[in-house]
Amino acid sequence: MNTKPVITSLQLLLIAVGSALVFPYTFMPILNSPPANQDVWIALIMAFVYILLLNTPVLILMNKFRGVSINQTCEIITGKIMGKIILIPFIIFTFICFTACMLITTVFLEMYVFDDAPSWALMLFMVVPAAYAAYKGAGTIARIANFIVPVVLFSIVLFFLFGLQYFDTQYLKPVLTDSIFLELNLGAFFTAARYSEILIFWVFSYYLVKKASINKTYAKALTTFGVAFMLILIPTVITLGMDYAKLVWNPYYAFTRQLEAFGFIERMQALNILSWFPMALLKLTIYIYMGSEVISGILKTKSHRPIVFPIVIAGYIMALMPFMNKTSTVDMLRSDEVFPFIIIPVVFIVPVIILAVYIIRKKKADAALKEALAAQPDENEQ
Amino acid sequence: MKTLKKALCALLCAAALSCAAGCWNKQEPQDLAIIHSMIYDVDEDGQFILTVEIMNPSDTSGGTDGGGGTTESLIAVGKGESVREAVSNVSKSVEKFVFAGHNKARIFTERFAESEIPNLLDFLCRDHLTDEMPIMIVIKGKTPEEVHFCSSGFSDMIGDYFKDLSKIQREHTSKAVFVTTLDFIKDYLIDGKQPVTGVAELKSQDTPQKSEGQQGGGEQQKGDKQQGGEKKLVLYEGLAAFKDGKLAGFLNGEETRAYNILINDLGNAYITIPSGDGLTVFKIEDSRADITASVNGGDISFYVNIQMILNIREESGGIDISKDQWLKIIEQRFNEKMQEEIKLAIQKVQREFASDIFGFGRHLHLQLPEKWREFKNNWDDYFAKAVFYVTVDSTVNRTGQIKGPFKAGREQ
Amino acid sequence: MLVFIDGLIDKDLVDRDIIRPLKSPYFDGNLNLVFKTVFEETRDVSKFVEFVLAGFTAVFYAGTKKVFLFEFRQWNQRSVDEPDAEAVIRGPKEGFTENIRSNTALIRRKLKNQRLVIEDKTLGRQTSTSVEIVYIEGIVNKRVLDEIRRRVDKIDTDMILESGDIEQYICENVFSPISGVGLTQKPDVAAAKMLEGRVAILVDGTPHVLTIPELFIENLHTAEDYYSRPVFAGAMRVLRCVALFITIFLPGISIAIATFHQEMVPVVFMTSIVVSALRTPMSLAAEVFVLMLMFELLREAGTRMPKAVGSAITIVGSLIIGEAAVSAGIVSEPMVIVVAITAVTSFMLPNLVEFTLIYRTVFWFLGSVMGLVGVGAGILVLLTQLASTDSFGIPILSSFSRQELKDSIIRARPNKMVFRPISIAKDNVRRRR
Repeated sequence: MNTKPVITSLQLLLIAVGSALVFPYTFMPILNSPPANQDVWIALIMAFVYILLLNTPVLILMNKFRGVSINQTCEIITGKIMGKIILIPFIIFTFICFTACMLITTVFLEMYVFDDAPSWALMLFMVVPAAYAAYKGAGTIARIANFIVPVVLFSIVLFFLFGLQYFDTQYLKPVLTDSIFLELNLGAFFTAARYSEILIFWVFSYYLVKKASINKTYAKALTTFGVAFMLILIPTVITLGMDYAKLVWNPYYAFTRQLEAFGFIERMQALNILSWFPMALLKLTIYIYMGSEVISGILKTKSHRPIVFPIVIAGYIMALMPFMNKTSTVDMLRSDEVFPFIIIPVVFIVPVIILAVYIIRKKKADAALKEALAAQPDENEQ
Repeated sequence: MKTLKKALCALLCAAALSCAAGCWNKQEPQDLAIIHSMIYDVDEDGQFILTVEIMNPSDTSGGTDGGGGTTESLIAVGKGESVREAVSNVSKSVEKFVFAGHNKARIFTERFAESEIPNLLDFLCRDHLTDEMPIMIVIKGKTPEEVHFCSSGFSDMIGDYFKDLSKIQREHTSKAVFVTTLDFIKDYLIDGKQPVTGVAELKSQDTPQKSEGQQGGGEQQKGDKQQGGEKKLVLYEGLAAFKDGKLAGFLNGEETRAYNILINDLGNAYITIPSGDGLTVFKIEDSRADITASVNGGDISFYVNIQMILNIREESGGIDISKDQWLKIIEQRFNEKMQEEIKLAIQKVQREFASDIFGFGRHLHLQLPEKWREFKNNWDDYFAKAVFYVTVDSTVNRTGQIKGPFKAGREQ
Repeated sequence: MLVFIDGLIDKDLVDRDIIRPLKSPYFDGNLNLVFKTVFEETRDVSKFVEFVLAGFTAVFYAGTKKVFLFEFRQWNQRSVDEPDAEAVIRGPKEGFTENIRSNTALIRRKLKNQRLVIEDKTLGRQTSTSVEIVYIEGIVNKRVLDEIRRRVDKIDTDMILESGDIEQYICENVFSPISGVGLTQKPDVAAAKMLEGRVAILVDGTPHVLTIPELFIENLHTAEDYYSRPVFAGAMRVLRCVALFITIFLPGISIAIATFHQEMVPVVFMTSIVVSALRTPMSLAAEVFVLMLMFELLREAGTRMPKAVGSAITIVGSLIIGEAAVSAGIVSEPMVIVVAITAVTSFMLPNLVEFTLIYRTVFWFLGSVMGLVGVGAGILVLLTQLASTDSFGIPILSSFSRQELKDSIIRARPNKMVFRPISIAKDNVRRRR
């Protein structure tokens, strides 16, 4: 069937939340961002304000250009050629994120589970399912997320409940005395700058059902993500203590190592892996899909499928380069000095430019938008 | 044809993946040597000696029953330049893969604890098969390997013994501490508290000690483990105090009880006070320590106020404790005794160890954060000079099932 | 002259309505008065052949150039009985039979609706099997209906003996473990599905009726869920979901944990596993594979053999072979327990036998090769395959949007079941006011 896939708002919410949760689940960068002390949860709450601020340009664009894809939006506003060029940072961003996520996941697996397996085997093992899922398209990805992400959320709640006996809230004190306001803001900004889920919204909202509201879905996604992040962050800090949590590569994994359930199940970190790994693969899938979708829009191919394999192979080769496959490179990539500066241009700067151009050429753009919307096949016929 | 090609492709991929990904890190259960406890020691030349206790499953019924026979343990020793090398060298005498994932207890000799624990922690935290759950114990004495040949309660293996002790006795004893590796790490890394570990000691059976860790010295069948002659007992009481990761000294049972009161982790505590020609025995139902820090110039003082709720378990001195005025006298006696005990404990730690194991630095940090910045760098020195005012306030709320003193019930 | 096929006609009716009137003394040569119950008159030879083959009686009368066809059909057939594969405790116990006409009658009795449409087709060049497409006009999903008609019309083959033949021609991908075409033997189930906007295909000669489209979640539903109260029905559905997870994942996960993540196993249990494993020559993965193979063999043998010998196989197979295998040291007890639980849960889901078999093997393989990481990757591949499978244009995993959730894993109370499944009945969604 060659009909356009339809995504419900719940599925879009779950895709965004799941993709965003991979970072806290894996290496929780917020612990090492300023202020890097027990007030990290306050920095997290402030980060949501910054996330909202950083995402506003794309939100405005999405609401205005509901019903047309991201490629069409850029073409309508900036013209045919510029519309293609302005999306190149986006493509580079998906490629870098795909490679970085693959490296981070591989490093995690090699450290904790498979210290004897070679990297290329592990990466091959991750890339094949991710490519297969990306090949199948947006509707498939949405339905997959409909299953995987609730399991992830459920596991977060479960670990929280199992960990109740180990909590010691004294590790959250003293509150606000060791940090200065500037540090908190800086940390909040860096944390907010890591989350590029609004771009997932932008690409997938083209397939969203007509009557779903993007803003409501976004608000719900942000809230769910916030609650889930808190449920990950607070137990980690109050069980491991702030100092040890900062020291470990994967704090949440170390937290789940301490848990004991029902008096006889101990060391359940393997369950952590079971719920996290499909989600990490799904994040890879989403990046591959976003990249191939945008490229296919630029090259005007019929579907994104032919482009999936070149992206995957290129990313695989890139990740296996000797200079990439080191823990220190991964550490640098995920640190505050590098990662936010990969995300901010694409999440904020480019959309602001597009928005500015739109405001300048408002009349022309609105007319072109009307034309594009009218040219689309009527959804009721499907 | 197209689906057939796809299916073939998928099959090829799967086959390639399986050969490529292979079976690295796969261990069949029967190829594992499961460690239950490890004793870390270091000798004069700096060589690390590791004594591991490995589960040796024996099939007692050898037939229809299969799993679940009694387990004996295999003791293996490895020596090396570093702890990791020592672990690898254990495999010189053990043909199976040494698996530390079920390790229950980390036992250190005094020699090791005096210098090497932070280095060990670095190794433990980096390695992926070791984790932070085993409890940490310092073992006193010159021949710690003997611990494997001692009678250890109902357990065959010393690792199980300590683990079960920590699980079950935690709420029932107050004269011992149960510290997991994570607790040790947290205390080591945080400013304002120094870590502690539990203490085990080997005592020969012909001089039984009156302490809470003892498991009445009866006959215990050990089979192969019997060496002939008297078997020693493993006693678990007291704590080992550390300063900056190095062993500073030991506290005995009563001092450990004071420690537990101050960190609000008291299990069951029974305090005995002589009364008339008999005894009054109190059980502490609930204990809460409120610590207030105050700084005057360069002088630091702590006001420790401990609220306790008591339950009288024995009053054989003839006092009628159903009357309030008598109760007050008894409470007063108790308060004085506890104050003395706690004060002495704090002073001993100040004088002999100069290490803040009670966490008074944390209290200062929480209550006066700006002042803490001045003191935090050499906190232990300031701690050694701080002044402590300890007051104990107790209330007896239950006195048991009989109304008056028992002896009064006897008709003369 | 009467032409008929012996065995397909009702001799009493032929006697009463054809022979007696012709032999009656009042017969004066006017056929119209005599043949009051004629079905059709025709001059077409091929039609005459077709109808006689279908069991009609043809009458040639001297002097007329046409042949009279009478539908006096009767043959031996199985009576309407409880279907063996879809037993319920509560609910109608009627099942379809091999006669397509009685099947449509059963459906008509459930749906006394003038908009129930039965489209007749004949498939199979040599068998001329009657195939009927049944739906409710106004509720049915038109796109699905058109697609079905298109695919069925494309079928050009020698024989259609069972609905399975049609299923293999019209399903999306014949090699996929999930076919997207549902199956039922009960008229009330077929009627309920048609009321949700689906299409039923009846095939003469088989009691198995196809229902199209089929969502994945329906494999976990039984008719009884709708006749019981919501809490119990919901609990049973959740139980079946749990059974599905167990039957697919348990062998893989247990091997993964026992060979890669042993720190998770409680030490007491680990002792038991080690002691058992020491006595057996095979690796754990091989043991589980052998046990799963044995289970499949026993199951297949149990299905094929005559019922009289059935209980003997149960005792021999499960008790003696299992027990003896453990004592002889061929397999270890923990693995026997794992496979036994897997087997029991697989019986709770009769519609998903091939699906669970294939994926259970896949996860066994992944678990023994890559541990829980392999199982995680396998989960993604499994979900991808399910999520990308369409049943005639409707994704089979599409029953988890908020509106449809109340009839998927749980079953909401009847007041809440206001809408038909929105993915299927797009045009006429409101069920009740």
